[in-house]
Amino acid sequence: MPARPSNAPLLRAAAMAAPPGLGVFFLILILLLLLPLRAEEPAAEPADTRDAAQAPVRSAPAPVTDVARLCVCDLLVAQCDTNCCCDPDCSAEDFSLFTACSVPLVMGDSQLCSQKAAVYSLDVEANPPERIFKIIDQVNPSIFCIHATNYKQALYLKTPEIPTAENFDQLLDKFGGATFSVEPDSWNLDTDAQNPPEENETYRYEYGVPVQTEDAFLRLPSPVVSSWCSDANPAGFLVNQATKCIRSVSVGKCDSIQALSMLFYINSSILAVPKSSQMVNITVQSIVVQSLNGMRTLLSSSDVLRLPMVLGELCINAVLGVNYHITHTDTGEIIEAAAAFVLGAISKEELSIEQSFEISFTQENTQPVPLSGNPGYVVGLPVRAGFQPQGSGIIQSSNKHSQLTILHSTSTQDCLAAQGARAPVLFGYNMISGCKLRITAAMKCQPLAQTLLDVLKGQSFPEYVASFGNSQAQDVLDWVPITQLHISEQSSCQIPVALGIEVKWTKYGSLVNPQARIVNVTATITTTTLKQLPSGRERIIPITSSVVFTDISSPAEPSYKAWPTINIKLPFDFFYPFV
Amino acid sequence: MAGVELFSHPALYTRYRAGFCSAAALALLIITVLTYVPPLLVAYRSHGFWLKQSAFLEQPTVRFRYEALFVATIGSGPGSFLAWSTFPAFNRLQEDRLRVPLLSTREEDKNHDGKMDQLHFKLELPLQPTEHVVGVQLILLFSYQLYRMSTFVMQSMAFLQFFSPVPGSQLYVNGDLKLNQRQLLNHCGLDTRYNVSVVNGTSPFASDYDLANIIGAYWDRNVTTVFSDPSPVWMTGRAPDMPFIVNATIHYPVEVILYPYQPGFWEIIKFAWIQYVSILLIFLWVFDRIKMFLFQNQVLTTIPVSPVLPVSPVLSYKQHQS
Repeated sequence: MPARPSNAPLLRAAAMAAPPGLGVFFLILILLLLLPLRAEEPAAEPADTRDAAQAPVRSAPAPVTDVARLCVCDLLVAQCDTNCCCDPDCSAEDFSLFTACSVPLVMGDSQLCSQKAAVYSLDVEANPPERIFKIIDQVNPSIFCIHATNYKQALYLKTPEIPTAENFDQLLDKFGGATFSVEPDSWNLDTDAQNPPEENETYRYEYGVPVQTEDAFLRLPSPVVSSWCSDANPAGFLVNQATKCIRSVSVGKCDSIQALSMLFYINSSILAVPKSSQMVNITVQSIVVQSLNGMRTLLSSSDVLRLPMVLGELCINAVLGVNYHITHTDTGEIIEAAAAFVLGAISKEELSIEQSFEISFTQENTQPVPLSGNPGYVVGLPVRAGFQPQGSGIIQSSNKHSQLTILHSTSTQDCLAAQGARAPVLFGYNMISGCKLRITAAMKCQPLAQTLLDVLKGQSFPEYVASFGNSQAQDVLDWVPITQLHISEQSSCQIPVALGIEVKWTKYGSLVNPQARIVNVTATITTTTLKQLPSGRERIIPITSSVVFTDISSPAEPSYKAWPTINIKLPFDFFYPFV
Repeated sequence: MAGVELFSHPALYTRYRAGFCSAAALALLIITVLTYVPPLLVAYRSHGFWLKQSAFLEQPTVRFRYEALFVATIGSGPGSFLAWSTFPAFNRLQEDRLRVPLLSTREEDKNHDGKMDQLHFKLELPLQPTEHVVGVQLILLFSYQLYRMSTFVMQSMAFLQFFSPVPGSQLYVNGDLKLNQRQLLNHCGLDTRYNVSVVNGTSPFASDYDLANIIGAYWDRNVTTVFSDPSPVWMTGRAPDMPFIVNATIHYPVEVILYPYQPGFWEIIKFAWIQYVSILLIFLWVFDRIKMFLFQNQVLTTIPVSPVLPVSPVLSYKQHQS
């Protein structure tokens, strides 16, 4: 016998599964529906079988409501379903093999006070086990049960609206939602080919628009979701940025890895304005060669292309850094593009290298001077410092990140080897760093003390610090001298072991917009006595360098011109909703 | 005799009269003030007088936006991760690390109330025989709406991350998408502050797809959702041609969300009124007794005026009571 049609689930056959908490709510809902609507309609029998005749529009088969005929586990046509006690295909022999009934109870709406229910069970005591089938009157003990339903549609799902050509869009708006998108990349250049530029329209780059080249974008390799470089990252117009990412390399194949070659970064010309045919070639501004131990030398001639090549165990001329410098006009047209390269050697052990990329945009005929705040210092920008030769203004280093620096710890941790690595002092950030000094008997006191002083203070320790972020070099009074203090013991040989820079600053100006102003800078060098070690022994002492920023401004407190009178007040929120 | 009626006994109907500027009138004024003002102070001082936050239960309307971002870390060997997302610009950035998976999702409304209850998400990432997945990062984007008090609409995220020291074949997660609030919601109105995409899928720049940037910008929001799964299951062992499978079930909490909100004016007044009146009733009763004692025993000098027709049994009976 064929199984029931697919509308069978419309009946609440598996009513046992319905959440019981919904019951009362359902009943109230039904009552609400009943009251205004069908007062005069004759009450129907609870377990009515001739139902759904009122469903006016659809020709869908009426839902099966006869509990004795409904069987949701009967899924195989003309074959007995295992453990399906209501399957009409099953014979008594089949039932004897069952262990349980997968659907033990078939009933209509559980909220009705009394209704027919089909109960299936197995009599395992009998030999062979046989099925027991009963139709019982299921009684709902709840006082809120439905005695009679006169609005049967309320118990069934509503007949859905059939989409037609007229209401399709409306139905899609109502029921449709997000879907997987198959739209192509809107930045794909293929779309430009379909829309050829109109002749009279003028194009220009705007902030953030990718800088175009003849085939794609100007590449600014950048890490995406990991540290590895992605070459597809475009550079945005007027977006100054610096990225660092890593590439996997192998010395043997280094001349065939594109990303290590200078050519890869300059071979595509930039379009002067988007969609134009006017090209701007990327010129090589400078080439710096970095040796394996980090020494950098500027090559005198920058017009030679140096391609990576294998040289024994090394791969030389691999690109370690590219610095693009783009000059543009005030109408958003690129007129010049230059790239400064850092080339280096890769040893055989290295499996990956870090590359750094930077891009900066400058308007033509301008020379921007970066400030560290205007007027007060901005947190996170480097502290400006310099020297004052006799009778002139302050002289600063051109690199604003190397004006006031502290020691930067290195992987070797050796103080004597770690000269050169410096970290800029950033306003508002307290920092500490250090290295280890290995003292042996052979070390002489005076040269060691001088070397350590260089390590702590750097190549050129400044004399003055700008009190404001925008202090001008010619206004010497705007600069604060660095007070140098020495804390030392009395002995013949003193070596410096710590440098502490303390910057005292205050807030200046109005309460609403306070500006940070440096009022005092102290550099304290702590020295210790170097005891002569017996030969063959060695000692390790830590060398530390730190920066502390102290806010010495008094806290903002309300002050009065005249002493206020005693003012008894209700708490501020006493009339809370009224104010 | 001149004067005003200051008090009348409720049962005896005796009226007590005195002048406007008499001590009795002053005392009555003080008693009245003491009756009505201290309940206010008591109600306020015992905290919670003005309702400033409240909570209610609601199941949010959550829909998967069919936007996802997937990164699989491949063990052994440098440069090894595979990524895919529903954002074309992100896929373009991945170049040869792009690996398109087979994705199948289903949102399920278990109790047929029109609100989705859970999302079944299955992602099959095809792998080369030499590739071994050791970590998974997955971002799923949802639109999240609350309607009961204010209409609150936001786009939110479920971030799923798992790393394992051993290569795996399947990651099974099953958890809740929970609301995380730093701020009260409004009691009415439309709040679309965070109805902006978590991932800027139209941007061509790599920095917009950096996971740290995405998470950083997301957690700057005051209202967010978090995917909480205390027990992800990492299955090891994979045949060379098998894909890596991420199997996720995300419940849009079937157990409803509890969240505080800013109550409206009349709700505040209603709760304050309940508190005030309940304390006031006690004060009224106590001071009524005090007033009755004061006037009946002539502690305050007044002129009692007895009613014209006293009913004697009631009178004597009532007098005992007081």
